[in-house]
Amino acid sequence: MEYLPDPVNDRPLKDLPPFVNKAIDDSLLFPRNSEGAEIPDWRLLEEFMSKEGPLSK
Amino acid sequence: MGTDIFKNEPNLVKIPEPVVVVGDIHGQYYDLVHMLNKAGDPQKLNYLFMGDYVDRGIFGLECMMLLITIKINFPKKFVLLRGNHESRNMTESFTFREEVITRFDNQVYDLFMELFDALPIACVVDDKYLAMHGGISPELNLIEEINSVNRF
Repeated sequence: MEYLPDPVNDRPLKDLPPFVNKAIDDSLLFPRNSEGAEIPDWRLLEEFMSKEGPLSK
Repeated sequence: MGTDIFKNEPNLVKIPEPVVVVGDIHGQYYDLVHMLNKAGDPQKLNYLFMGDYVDRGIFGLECMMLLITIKINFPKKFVLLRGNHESRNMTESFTFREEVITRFDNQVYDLFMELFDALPIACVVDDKYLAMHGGISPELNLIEEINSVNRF
């Protein structure tokens, strides 16, 4: 997951995790299991959406 | 992928105990995440959701995405029933249709409606309890009659 960057280090609430600002990569979201099937990683998706990660079609 | 799993389920699904039974979510994504963390890992526990995942709250899409993703991972242990809000009529009157069309488009909305049509309608827990969203029809005499309803 790519978090919202802080290039000039001016986030006022640094103890809070930043938002995710880019859509999640398919290779991360759909890892291949031992049988070769691409089953979505629900824990990753849960965390991604909890951080307001943008959903794409 | 998710719709196909639901289409292959009967109207009346069965799930053994121990089971966590969950009522209306109504688009409250953070409550759903909190509840899953509190109640336990879906890999180890059975879950029965009794419908009304969308409308009212503003995170109906997130709720559906997470529930479907967990369902794909654990199709036998994670049961999602249809509530009255999983319908075209209710999502048009409430908020889910607008939420999906604003964030995506009509095509995505239609896919969700197809998925809602495929959701099972009742569940028997451990051959002891009958669970469903809204109650029993006065025309229902035998539990087996639920499977004779054409939900498609």
